[in-house]
Amino acid sequence: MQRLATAVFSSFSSVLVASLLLTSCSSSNKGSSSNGINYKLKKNETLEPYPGLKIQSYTMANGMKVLLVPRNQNGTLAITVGYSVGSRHEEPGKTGLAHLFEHMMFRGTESFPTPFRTLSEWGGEFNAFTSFDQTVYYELVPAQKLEEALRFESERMRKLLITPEIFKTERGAVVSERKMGYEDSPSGRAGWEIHQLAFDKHPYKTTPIGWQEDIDRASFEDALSFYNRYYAPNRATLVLVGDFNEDKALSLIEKYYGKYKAVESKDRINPKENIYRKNREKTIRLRAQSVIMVDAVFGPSFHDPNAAAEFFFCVLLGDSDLGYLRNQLVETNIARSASASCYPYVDPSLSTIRIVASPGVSSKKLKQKYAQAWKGFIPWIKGDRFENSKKLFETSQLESLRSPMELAQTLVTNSTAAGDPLYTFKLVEKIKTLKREDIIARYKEWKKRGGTRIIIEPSAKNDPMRKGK
Amino acid sequence: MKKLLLLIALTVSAIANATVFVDFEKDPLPLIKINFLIPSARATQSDTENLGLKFLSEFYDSGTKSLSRQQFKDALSSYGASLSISTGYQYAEISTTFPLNNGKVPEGLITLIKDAWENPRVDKENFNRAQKYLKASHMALLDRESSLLSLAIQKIVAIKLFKLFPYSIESFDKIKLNEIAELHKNFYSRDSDIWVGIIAPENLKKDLFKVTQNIFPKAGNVKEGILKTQLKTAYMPEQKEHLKPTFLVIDKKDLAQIHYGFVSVAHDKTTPKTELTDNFTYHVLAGGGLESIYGKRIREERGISYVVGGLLSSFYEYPIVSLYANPQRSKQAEAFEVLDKIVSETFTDGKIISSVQDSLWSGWLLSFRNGERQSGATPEGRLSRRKDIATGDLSYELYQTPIDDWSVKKAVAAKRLGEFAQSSSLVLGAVGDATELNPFIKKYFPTYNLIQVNYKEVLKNAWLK
Repeated sequence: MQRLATAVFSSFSSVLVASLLLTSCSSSNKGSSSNGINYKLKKNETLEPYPGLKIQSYTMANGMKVLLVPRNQNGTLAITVGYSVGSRHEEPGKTGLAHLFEHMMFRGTESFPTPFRTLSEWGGEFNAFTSFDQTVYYELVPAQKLEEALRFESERMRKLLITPEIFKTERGAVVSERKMGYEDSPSGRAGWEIHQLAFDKHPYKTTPIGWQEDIDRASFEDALSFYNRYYAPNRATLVLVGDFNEDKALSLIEKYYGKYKAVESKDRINPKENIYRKNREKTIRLRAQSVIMVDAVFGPSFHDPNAAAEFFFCVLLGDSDLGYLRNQLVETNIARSASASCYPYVDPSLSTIRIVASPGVSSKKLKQKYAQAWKGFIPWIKGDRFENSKKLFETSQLESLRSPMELAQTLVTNSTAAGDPLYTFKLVEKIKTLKREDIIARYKEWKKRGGTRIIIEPSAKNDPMRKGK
Repeated sequence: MKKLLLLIALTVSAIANATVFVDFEKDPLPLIKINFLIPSARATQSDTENLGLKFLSEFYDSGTKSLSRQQFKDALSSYGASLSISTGYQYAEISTTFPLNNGKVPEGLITLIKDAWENPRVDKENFNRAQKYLKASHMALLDRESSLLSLAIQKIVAIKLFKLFPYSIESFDKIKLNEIAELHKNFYSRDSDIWVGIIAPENLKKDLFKVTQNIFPKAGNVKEGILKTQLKTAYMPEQKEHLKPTFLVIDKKDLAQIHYGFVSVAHDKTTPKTELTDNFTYHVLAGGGLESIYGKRIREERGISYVVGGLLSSFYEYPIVSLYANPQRSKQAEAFEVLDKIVSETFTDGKIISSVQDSLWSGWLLSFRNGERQSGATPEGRLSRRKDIATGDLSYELYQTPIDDWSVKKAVAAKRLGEFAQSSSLVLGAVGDATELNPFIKKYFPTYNLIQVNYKEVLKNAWLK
């Protein structure tokens, strides 16, 4: 059963974002921690999305948000820092910069000149990812490394040591990542092309990896300017989950982050796409073994009232184990896999269905069988099946709560992208109240919205990726 | 680590026919997770039998004799439960997670799990479906160069070194339904020697022991504890001959990157000391991550490859070290220069081991300890570790050895990678345009036995005859 997940297109690795049940929100205790010591950090409230899971929420004077979940985690501590900057903030002609900068953040600070080595010696796990709306850095470290880890994260927020030489080398690694994930991967290419075809004006048109030409052209000065503008405390959320003392953590956070000033910058208002428009379809020829079909419509934004119904619509349709499309297309050997994703974004992005045909099944046959399958979806979600799918979904969300890293990533992405630390918790609560009629409404809505389709057709040669309309 | 060991010490008891590791949560979620491991009765002995294990996993996911896949999945989801059953050459694994029903284990669900294990849907219709599905999935490897490289190198090791029978694309058409039915009996007949891992609230211990006995009535005594010895595995092949140093070229045109790496198999079955020191050598110095020497050279200093890394894994129980990177096609010359240097330093003159610093060593120890601590941070992590012990995973011995006693001097004195896995068992491989790759191989690896194969032929075995 799929869990709530961000669409991660470029990263050191991908990441699941988990969520859970919302049961209550509780008290406000402004300006002091649990022992009454005053900090410049302003305490907002204690959030309790699930009985026993308490999240202490603070805001620093410089605007940085802090979420703390002290709990027994066998001597470990998950630290995540999310920045409200993703590829949606890139200027035209400078695509790929947000992701390229994510790489630069691992190249050293004054006190930590070799972060890979240092983090490894701490025994930590660490990584990062860049999406359309946000960039997130995370570590899982021994609890006694709390201060050092906070110092490291705070230094790389404003005091990163980078040179033009380092920039050039890291750009090489990004070029390699792009070639691997998009130029040589039929599946990655399909994901790239569906955004290119669906969007006309919005920066979601280009996935965070960016155009090769733009990456080649990006200068060291571009990178520095991006860093100075976006890597600021008022665009960041820091989350700690695991074994730590709340008061000690608060004083360290104040010590290391309190000195930074907010950086004012106005985000560009991105143009809106017309979501009700004529269907579009494009065929790409690649050296692939099977036909791949990606179908997409414009999906909801984070705070669209239909976001929960749309998300669950895709679970019912495209779950890799129990989804309707698996039942109709994979079990009948028409397709090797069938999945769907309807995760919301800051602006309306794409809800997508992705089908990989079995070898030898033509695009014509796949389209025909897929169109037939759509007709049977509503009768398939009978009363019991609908309610049972919700139960199973809840089990999978609940299970993810145990992991400190999954919880920390959920909270940080909720805060930096959706603007609400409890966003996914609330979404799950809403899913529990959905009725079959809500799904039928989404089904009808899908038919109304302008569809975009990419077909990857097996061929002896690859169609090149060319910039342009 | 110390806390974890204390927990283990408190729960050790005599090994019974069914051994249960139970992890009680301090603040339990209303969820149960159970893993059952059932050892195989005998080794698989042909290409089609090896493939049959994959079919069997599919059959276990296809319903039961009385319930179609959809009916079975609907019934499971009515309990909010997930269930997977898979098979490998050593053991079958049943894994389920489900919420409590009014604080109790739902009996109907246990009956379903029992039915899935006892009565898989092994019929002609399901066989035809699984045959097409699994063949299609296998063919998908042709679009994933790193997987293709790994498969091809494994085939060289299996066929040339061990004289074993890996399955090929043709095996999918040769396999028979009755072979799969026999494999099911092979596992099902061994349910008297199983291992069970459970995550649950403490008050459900007795109920869950009953569940185990209900699903596995032949299990006899069910005792709480950890396995101090590995599950009895059925098969351990002997190396029939030594490999000659080999360079495999998989010819695939039109790629933006090349994919290359090497694999080396240990001469002997693992012993704790060699394993630990070589793990160290490999992990810290060679290609264990971006902080490694390999990572530093190819990614941090030159930026020619996004992915760099490797694995200490096993072929049956022989340790294998492997390194992998995917440099840009336009940077092949630099990429081969680095590969040549790494191979010669690692396997020939031992320069890497002699450059070990105490700080690196202590860093690795800390990293190892913290890795253990992190895996103990969640019940799933603890259960997974216990499972590794039960199945004789390579990390098993690490629990038995006081790691504070290790030192870099001992590591150097004990073994170096060049002795653990000599260049004579080295298989290098690359995927890319053969006309571009071959001049580099001639330049840097002129004495190696060259094997060249078109990428589409890799799924067959004829190219190795």
